[in-house]
Amino acid sequence: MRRTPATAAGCLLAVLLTLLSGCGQPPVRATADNFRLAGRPQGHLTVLEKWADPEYAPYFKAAVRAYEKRNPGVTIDLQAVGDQPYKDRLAVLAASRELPDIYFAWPGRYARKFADGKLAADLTGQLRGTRWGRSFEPDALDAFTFGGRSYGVPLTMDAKVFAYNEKIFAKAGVERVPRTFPELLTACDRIRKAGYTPLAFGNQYGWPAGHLLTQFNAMEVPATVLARDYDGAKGAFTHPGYVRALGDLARLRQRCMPSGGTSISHESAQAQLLYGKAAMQYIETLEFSYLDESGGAPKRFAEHWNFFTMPAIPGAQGSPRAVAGGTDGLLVSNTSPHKALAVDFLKFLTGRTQARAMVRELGWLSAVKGTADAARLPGLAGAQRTLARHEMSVWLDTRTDDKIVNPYLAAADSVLGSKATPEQAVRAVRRGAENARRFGVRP
Amino acid sequence: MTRRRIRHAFYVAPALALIALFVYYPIVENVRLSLFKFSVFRPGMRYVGLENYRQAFQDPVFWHALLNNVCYAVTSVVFQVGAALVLAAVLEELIGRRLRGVLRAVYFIPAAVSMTVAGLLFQFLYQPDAGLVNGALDAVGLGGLRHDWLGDTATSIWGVINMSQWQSFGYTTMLLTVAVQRIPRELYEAATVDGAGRIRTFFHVTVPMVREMTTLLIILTVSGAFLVFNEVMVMTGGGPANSSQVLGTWLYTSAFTGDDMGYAAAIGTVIFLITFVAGALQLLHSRRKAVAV
Repeated sequence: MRRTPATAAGCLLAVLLTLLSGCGQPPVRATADNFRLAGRPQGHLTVLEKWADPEYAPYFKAAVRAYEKRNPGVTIDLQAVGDQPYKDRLAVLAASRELPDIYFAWPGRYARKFADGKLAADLTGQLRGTRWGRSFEPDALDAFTFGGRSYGVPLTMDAKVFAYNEKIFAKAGVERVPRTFPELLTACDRIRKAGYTPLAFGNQYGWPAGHLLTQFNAMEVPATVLARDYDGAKGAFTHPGYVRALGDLARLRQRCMPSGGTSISHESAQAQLLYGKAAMQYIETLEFSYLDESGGAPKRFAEHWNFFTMPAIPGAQGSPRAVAGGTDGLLVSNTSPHKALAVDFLKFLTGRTQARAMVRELGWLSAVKGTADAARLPGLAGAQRTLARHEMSVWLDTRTDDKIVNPYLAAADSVLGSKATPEQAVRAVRRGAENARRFGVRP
Repeated sequence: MTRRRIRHAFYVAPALALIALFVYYPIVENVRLSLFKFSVFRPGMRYVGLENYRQAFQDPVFWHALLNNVCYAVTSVVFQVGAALVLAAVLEELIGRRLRGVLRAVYFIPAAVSMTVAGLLFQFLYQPDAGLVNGALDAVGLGGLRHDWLGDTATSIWGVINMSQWQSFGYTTMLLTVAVQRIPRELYEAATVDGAGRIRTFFHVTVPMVREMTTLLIILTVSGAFLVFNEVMVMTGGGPANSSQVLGTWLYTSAFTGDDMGYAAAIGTVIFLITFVAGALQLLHSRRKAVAV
């Protein structure tokens, strides 16, 4: 045979065609839904979560050790990775169908992907109408319920609030916390006049703006419209509330945020709040531990801070009681050969004793009822009461279709950078939604 | 003869097998995947032909990312090849031996800093409030030019490109210095005898004689500019508003945030084609102009 480029190209094409007709995505080999332990717990579990920070990791290691001590026949391989690497790692594990027995998931569409792909075990029988299921806050349980089936065990509750420095508010003559959005903007004007940055804001990675938009969208757009639009297959984003929400963001940028820019990290922005340069920051209740002396905050701040939720927006058509937030939870792999053991460990982790330990040691709000009084951190019990009065609106970036997240966060960036008007930004979101429909991954 | 050939093939086979497995198979597999729509979370793949490529051509972020890569490549060639060659020639011709060594070390140090550390360092330099860049502008009375360098869609990618030049400039200067040192001194002496000045000597002796090295550096910098990822991820994450996206980060975002693996594979194929064609063209061009000593 003569060795010509045509022969080589022919061979390459043959290889390509062979591959084309060959393998595809590996199938999900689901194991039987047997959640009943036969005798004492024993076996080996793998757990992957995203609480790798040195202030959080010891709690989870201690919980694992406590379970292993209680059940000598059990060994648990606990792996924790950072927030962003976690998403990448889990995607790779999902693609290779080698998920750990238990893994962390954000609420909303993020968790739903695992449920729809049959990668998460259906825990409905374990959670609906059972004593264990009734121990959780209903909102938290609902965050992992899709099509009437429960797929996740909620662990923490989280909400976005404005943490503020009481001394700066007093110096600026802001006598009470703002009750309406215009009052918040007026307070910002006074604080700026007093020589402080009204609202510390670092949007380096985009999600802080996403959290603000979660809040504004929930307040400006009726919940039924939001639910339809956040789904990529149907999203049209034609409700005028979306433009108003981006307008709210633009006003907040103009009157409350630093004039220099917002390209710093959320953590760097927090330093401005802690060290008395800024009066407020929009933070998660999970971050309350950083505002305490034990979390590194200076005493002069730690003793003089409080919080309030986003004040009502006059004329808005959404829910005035909405609060941006989420419930972090754990899923059981549908391919796990140790489903019963995994559920037993999760029952231990979300048992009242362990949940109270989490609230006490980490300063997080637990998804388990009646645990807030275990808090040592100031403000946490108040946050629990606040959450009970509000409707949780799950983070936009974990609730919306994957293909809408990037255009939405980019639109928020454009508004924050004064590169687009709210109307132009919403048009970009609509284009993103249209692309999600045209080039969507789903069949 | 045939036996000898078989023996040779036997020795070469392991290396060929490894290259085929770890280099060519992933490329072919990537091309194959670019013809499908699939999610890592769902079983099954949908064959869509060239739709992922059509999606790329209609995606404004893809084109913006490509433009950013081109800006990256052009700037890198200008600084890391053009300016670095001038600096290498100056170091060799005009600077005293002792100072030359010190300067080489000074220029090379940034190349020894890890990309992540350099990215974080420049983030601090560019900080809008407390950053050194805005502070320096204030100090020399140019406070009016203060800027949120990484937070503005118009300047974010240039902030990243600047950092990259700072880091790689010294490295390429070192490589070109070695190439300049290998040029026979007789050529310079002949040029001087012929009455050529320094600038003329540079263009007619130095530049042609280091062509192999400049070709190699152009290929490396151009392909490096299209493969850039770390510095953008560390400094801006592709933002704000996708203004600093490059093909590598857009591929990553499409795959891991957008869960559109087929589209990400299509972007990967485009990156491969660009770097392959750029490398091949440059090699062909340099072969034609090769200078024999």
